[in-house]
Amino acid sequence: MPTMKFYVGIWAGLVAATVMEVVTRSIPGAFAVVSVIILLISSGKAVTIAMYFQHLRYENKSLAILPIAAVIAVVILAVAAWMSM
Amino acid sequence: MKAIVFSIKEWLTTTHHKQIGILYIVTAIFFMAVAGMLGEMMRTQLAVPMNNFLTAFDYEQTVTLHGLLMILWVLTPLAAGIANYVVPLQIGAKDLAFPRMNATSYWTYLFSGVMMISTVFLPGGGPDTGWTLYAPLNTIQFTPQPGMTLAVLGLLLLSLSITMSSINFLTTIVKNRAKGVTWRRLPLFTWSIVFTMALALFAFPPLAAGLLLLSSDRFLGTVFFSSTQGGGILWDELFWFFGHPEVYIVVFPALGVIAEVFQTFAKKPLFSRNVFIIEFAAVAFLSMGVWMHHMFTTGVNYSVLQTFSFTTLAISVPFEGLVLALVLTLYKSHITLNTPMLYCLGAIFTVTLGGITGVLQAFPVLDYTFNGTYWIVGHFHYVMAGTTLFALLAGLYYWWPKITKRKYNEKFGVITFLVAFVGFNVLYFPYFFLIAMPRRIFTYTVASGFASANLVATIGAYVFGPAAAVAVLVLILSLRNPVLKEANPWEAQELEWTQNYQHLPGSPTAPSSTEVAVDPPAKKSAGQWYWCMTGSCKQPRPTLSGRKKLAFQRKQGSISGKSLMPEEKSGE
Amino acid sequence: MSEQYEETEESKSTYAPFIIGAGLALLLFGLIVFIPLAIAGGAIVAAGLFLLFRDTVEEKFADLKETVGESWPAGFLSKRKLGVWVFIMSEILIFGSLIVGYIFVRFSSSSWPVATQVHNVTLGMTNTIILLTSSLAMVFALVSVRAGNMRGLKIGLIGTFALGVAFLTVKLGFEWPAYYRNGFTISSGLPGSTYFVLTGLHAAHVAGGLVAVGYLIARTYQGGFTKDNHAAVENIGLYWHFVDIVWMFLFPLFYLI
Repeated sequence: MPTMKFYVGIWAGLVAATVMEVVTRSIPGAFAVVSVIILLISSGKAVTIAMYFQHLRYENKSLAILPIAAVIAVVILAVAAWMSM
Repeated sequence: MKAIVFSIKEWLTTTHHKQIGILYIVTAIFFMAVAGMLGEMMRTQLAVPMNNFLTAFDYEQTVTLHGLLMILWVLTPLAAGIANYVVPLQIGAKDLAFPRMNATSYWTYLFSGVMMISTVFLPGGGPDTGWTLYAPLNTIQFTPQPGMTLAVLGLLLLSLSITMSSINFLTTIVKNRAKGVTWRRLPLFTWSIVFTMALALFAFPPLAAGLLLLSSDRFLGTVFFSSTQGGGILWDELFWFFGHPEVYIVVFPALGVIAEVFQTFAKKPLFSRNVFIIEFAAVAFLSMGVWMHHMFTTGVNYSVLQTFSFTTLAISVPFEGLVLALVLTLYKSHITLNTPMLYCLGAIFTVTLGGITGVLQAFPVLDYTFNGTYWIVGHFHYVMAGTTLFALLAGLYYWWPKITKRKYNEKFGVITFLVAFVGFNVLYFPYFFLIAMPRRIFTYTVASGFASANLVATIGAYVFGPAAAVAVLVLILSLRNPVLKEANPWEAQELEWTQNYQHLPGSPTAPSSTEVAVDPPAKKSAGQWYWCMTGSCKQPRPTLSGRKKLAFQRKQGSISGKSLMPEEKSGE
Repeated sequence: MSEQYEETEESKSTYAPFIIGAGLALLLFGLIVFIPLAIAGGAIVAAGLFLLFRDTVEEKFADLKETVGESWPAGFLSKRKLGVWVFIMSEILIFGSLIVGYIFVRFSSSSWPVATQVHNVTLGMTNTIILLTSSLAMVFALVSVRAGNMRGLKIGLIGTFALGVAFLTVKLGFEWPAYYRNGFTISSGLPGSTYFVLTGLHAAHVAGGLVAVGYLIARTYQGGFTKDNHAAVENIGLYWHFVDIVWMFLFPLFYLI
């Protein structure tokens, strides 16, 4: 089990990423491009929380299949909704 | 009646899977009676043109409640009740993984159903939009009555109930299996519940999401579904992303029951059992990718029509594989034509007819003709009222000796089935001739030409409804019969029959601490295995006679064909 | 006959499920028909939950020890932890469906206000950091109890609780009233509807999490957790981190994009 120091480091990284998201908003650029970058950062934050705070990094690989399957189902819905617009 | 202890407190506070299973079954039958009466009322109204038995508003409420109750409060809970009783026995578990959550699932189910029925008694009446609750019809502007909002909340409560059940069953089947019950040896009914509950886990949250948005529209003045910019399609996406897996949630347990019944009464293992399970998984997975075939006529773009037509046709392949495997199990076997077997054969007939009509609907160009007409109504009643209801009734009859230690009257069972089967087809087959008749209309003119088919259908309804009631009555009346001496009157080979289980806790014969002891399967014969009566694997078999002798001789190799009967070799 | 697993004497009956079921139905029924009924329903649900907690504290439902039968591929998971992860799957699906709905609605609309002009990015970012810190506190609680450090467990849990309360206070006490004063309300159009419904549902999940963390705190003070017996801390922690993850998406989707 990692130490508290390690977790505080993760936390600091997450806070920094949050600030980076906000700063990215102010960057001049195409709305779509900037938005995608922001969402990539936030996805990274989410995955980090899942891997370290929820401990998925250290668990058996087969556990991660569960949330990943749910995410895939959401993606299917999203893709189809996109197609129908 | 000695085995059934009548203590109100016991039934209100139980967390035991067998009692909760019985509660689900009894409650589902109650809701079936209510929804069935609604169906008879509809058929009465439609018997003749320009009838005034029901007003338009009353008819719309009736059709909505009939649909909602039947799909969500009858068929799925009936399967859940049977699963509650049978699945732990089939995997050698003491109970489900979370017994108190199991009880909570039941009570929320019951009270949500009470909420649904109470909607029609509120001022303004109940929901009248059809069970699909399409937008913007479901908004306050077009359906102002509070009964509609109550129905939405009732559906939310049921979603919670079913989500809890799915978490429970999935955890149970993964974690609570006894030693020796590996995934490959899992009984097929339990496999069907695995896929049912996995789909339920994925399907109900999107429904809940849509219902939350709809509640927010109706309570808090949001405009999700009244928006002219995509509001209608938004509901369709969320509802049918739930709705299509839902129909597989309804039919999967039925397929599991048919597999069990066929294996027992044809005395053969399932044809291509491993392929069956893989096909089951394929249907489950694909069912998450076909939902927009319910939206072919909404004006969605061409790429959607193409993609979902393809996936819908694709799903019919493994599904046909499932049905074929079931039918091929009967090939070269010795069938006992008793009540459960007959109901399952009836279910195979209806799933074939219903499935073929379904495949036709996979083509958007044909769907433009079929959608919103009685063709669709015929299709889904064949698979739901036919296959699912017949198969679940078969399940009740099949496991009845297990649950109540009594046997029903076989003759009455068979006669009731025949009447019900004829009535069912007289009721629903005419629907395929009513392609020109729109759904959910409360009456029609003489000039439309619908009158004769409708009259025939109504006559069928007056036969089918009472027959279904009698089918239940036959089971209830069996409780007067004496207790069976043998625990396994069907000589079935699955685990729930061959272990020395006791019945309801608190019954006179139940030991205070029931222990599950599962002997590992005795031997594999021809790629199959069987569970012996506890401790009896080494005992000599009694003398065989008639069909059993034939099956045994087959096993010996003196006749061709497979059998589940154990080998008799000395020194085993 | 082989013993599949041990089992302690357990009394398996309880009124809690019946009470919770009836209370939920009464709550929802009352919302439509007569608000006092809804309040009564809420009280009944609370009573049922309290009954559940008390049963757990008194160990009335002594856990069925984990079966020693087949459990592939989840042999390494306790059944409760598996149950929590399956529950989280359903939560991913409900929030995911709502987010897809939001994106669908937004792309179907001809015009949408600029996010940073309508939403208070500073408060949003503050809340994001508050929630991240609460997750850290939750991790601290778990690390502490695993090391046998009960004081650390208390600090971590109370910290999580306090930060969760802070999150809700910032949102409900400062942010939302300001929006309402400016005319950005739940019924002011689709931008308002989507924002308030999604973040409102998230806030409700935070509140539910606070109830669970409150239970953990109560149990800690009763001495219910030990170095080897603290599964609830981890399992409720998993839920709490999930609620944090959802906010990681809601914040940019509403405040920045």
